[in-house]
Amino acid sequence: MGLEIDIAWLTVLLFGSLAILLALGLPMAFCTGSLAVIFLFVFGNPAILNMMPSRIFPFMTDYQLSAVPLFIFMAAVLEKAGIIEELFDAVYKWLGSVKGGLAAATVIACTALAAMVGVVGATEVTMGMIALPAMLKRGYDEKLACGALLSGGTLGILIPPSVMAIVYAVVAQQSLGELLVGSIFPGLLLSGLYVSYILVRCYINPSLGPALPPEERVSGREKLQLLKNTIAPILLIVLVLGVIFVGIATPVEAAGIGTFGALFISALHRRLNWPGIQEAAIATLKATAMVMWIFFGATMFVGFFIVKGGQTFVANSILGTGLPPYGILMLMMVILFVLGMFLDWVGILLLTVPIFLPIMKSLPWEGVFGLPGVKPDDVALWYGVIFMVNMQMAFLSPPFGYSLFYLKSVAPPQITMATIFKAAINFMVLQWIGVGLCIIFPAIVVWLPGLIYAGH
Amino acid sequence: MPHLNFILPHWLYWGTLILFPLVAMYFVQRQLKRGVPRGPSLFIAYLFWATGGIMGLHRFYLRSMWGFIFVPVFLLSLHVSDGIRDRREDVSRTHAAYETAVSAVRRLTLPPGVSMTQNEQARLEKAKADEAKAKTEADFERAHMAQWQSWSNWLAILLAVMLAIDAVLMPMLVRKQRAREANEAVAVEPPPPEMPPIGTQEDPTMHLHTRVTDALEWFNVRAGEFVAYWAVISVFVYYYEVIARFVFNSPTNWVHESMFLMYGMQYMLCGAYAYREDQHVRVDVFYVKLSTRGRAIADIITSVFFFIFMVTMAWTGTRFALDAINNSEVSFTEWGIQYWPVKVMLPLGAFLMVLQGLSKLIKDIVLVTSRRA
Repeated sequence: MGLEIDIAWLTVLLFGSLAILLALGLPMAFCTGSLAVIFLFVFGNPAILNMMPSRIFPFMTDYQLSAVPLFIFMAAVLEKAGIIEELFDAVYKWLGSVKGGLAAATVIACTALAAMVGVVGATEVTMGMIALPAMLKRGYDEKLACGALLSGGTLGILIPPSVMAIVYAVVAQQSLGELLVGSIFPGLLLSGLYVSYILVRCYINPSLGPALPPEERVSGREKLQLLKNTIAPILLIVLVLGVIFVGIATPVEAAGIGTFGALFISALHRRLNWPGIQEAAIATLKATAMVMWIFFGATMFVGFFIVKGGQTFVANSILGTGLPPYGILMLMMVILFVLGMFLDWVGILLLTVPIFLPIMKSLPWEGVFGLPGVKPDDVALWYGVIFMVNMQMAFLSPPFGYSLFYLKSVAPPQITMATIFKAAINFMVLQWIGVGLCIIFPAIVVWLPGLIYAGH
Repeated sequence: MPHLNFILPHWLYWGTLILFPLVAMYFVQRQLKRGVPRGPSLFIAYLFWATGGIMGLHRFYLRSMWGFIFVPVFLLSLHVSDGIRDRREDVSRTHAAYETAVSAVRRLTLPPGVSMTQNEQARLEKAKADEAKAKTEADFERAHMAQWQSWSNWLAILLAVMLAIDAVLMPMLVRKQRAREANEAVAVEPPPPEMPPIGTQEDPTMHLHTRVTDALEWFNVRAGEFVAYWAVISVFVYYYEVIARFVFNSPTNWVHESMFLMYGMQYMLCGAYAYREDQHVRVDVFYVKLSTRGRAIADIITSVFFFIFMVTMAWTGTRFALDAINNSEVSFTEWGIQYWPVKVMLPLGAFLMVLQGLSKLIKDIVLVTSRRA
């Protein structure tokens, strides 16, 4: 029909109807897709609707995106392979004599698992089933125990391999290898923050997380024997990360051989069988379908908004606030945080990155407090990692943080939702510190990729 | 190491996509009926023998320390493959230098009967000397390369012999290991983690069945289960690519394309299956607070939007796919695979979505009207 409308009103109308449809419970993928179709028809040229398949088809056949199902499949196979239990067992026996050792072991085991698994979910649920009762039985503070699980569990989305990194790389047209390498230090930094927070609190007040009683500790000999169980997972981590690092294979191929490795580990544990494969394949299919269809819907929605000048409008409105670049970045972080309270990360990524990233790229990043800033070429990479660290909070922030519900589903009944909320808040503060550190010291993000991909 | 020059024929690609899921379904059903076998299996042992035997994976699978014999041989052959890659570069570099030298000589050689100046004579002499030097270098590099290649061949023969021995021994090895593991205490398998549904599985019609809707959904369930197994294919295909490239120095031209096209088809066909399982995430603010009937009413209202999206997609997608069919479109790559089946999946996926939407709408209406009665 081609009605003309002021972009400000269009923005209100578009996002207003999106909010209404979402509230009515229509899945995100269909809200964005249908609104794109309707608005294209009303405010654009209906002939453009014929462009729809040619807009979707490139995503169907995107080479990088095939890493999404592969990494999800790898996680699904590993969950059933029994290595989560083994890893936790080994780490917690090693750290048993330390105050707060069990909680620290939880975070460390989660970090190691995050290096094999690119999603949040099963890691946390399985860890919750084994680590939470273990901690509560030994008199750990409920909030500290839950917090360790919540924060450790969300590392899966940050530490490579990471499904979020793949989606971001495709949307932002950023090198996936760089992004994966760039998220390693921030991931370890956050993991380190959690562990030190736990240990410091337990040393100040040992009743929060008492060390194991001497009779439960294991001897040095047994500790060495436990190491045997960690060989296979460590080899797998080295394989996947090493392949990406050295650059001998693409991240997609790394996902392929990583999954092969996962199948082998599962066979070693005698858990490789056809029904298990079927379960893993179906679980992968469901998760992939969710991500990809949001992709199809949201790409048209955002595409329409940008064509109508929405990106410029948002850019002008944000720049018009007169905030300095770092103020604008903080504003974006707050917006992402608020969105994270309600929306799924896939939707947030697809809706905001195409709008925010051009703004980020247009601004100078000269560093704060006299520290070195970010080169224009590195902005997409830097913003990507900050975005991922921020999105970890979307899993923790009430009222609709996934991780909170995952944990509640396996927690013993005396752990109330209120306890889990409170537990999440302390660790969200750590998360904000992590975001802040990555912003103030961009070298945490860009140094390693710069080193590895310098010649490319 | 020999070269792998295998290029996946088109018929085999499409054939595998169709047959593998059927075979997998058969085995799943069989194991569900007969129970999952405990301990090591001969099939899996041979599978790892065939795919990762050169690394001794089949031995490790059977927890036999003899696997460690394969590791140094394998690492050595990786090193040799790497060396051959470098040597090949040296050979082509020195060969190119030799060719340049030859043509330089040719340029400087005057036709017979034309006398040369002293200067020209000197330049020719120098060019000839260069040519001879370049030839020696090229010959040396070629010999060097041949040397590496013969090492590589010996390693290949060694690995082949080791694998052949193990292929014969395998049934015995599996039997012994099975007996050994039968005496071990069976580890209790932990229950699979139950993932709580958030933003999913809130559809009030999920457990409602009517004859019509079950018939409609039958297609979507089958399509979803069918394409799910493709993930397994991709694991082995990507693994093949990496091994072919690094061990056999033979990168392929079909792996990447075949796999992303396969996944493209999977994304489209699994949408309706995921919708049936209510896996498309929604926002949990008001919807979960509604009663079952309230949700059904909300679903009926929003279904209008759903159909607008999907019907448009099916319609425009059909024209998109018809274009491809009329041109019998193939990809522009060396492999040249048929492109039109991939494009057909776009409207087909949308069509399955419409079917699922209809089925859901019917169930929603049943839910709303039956409660009132």
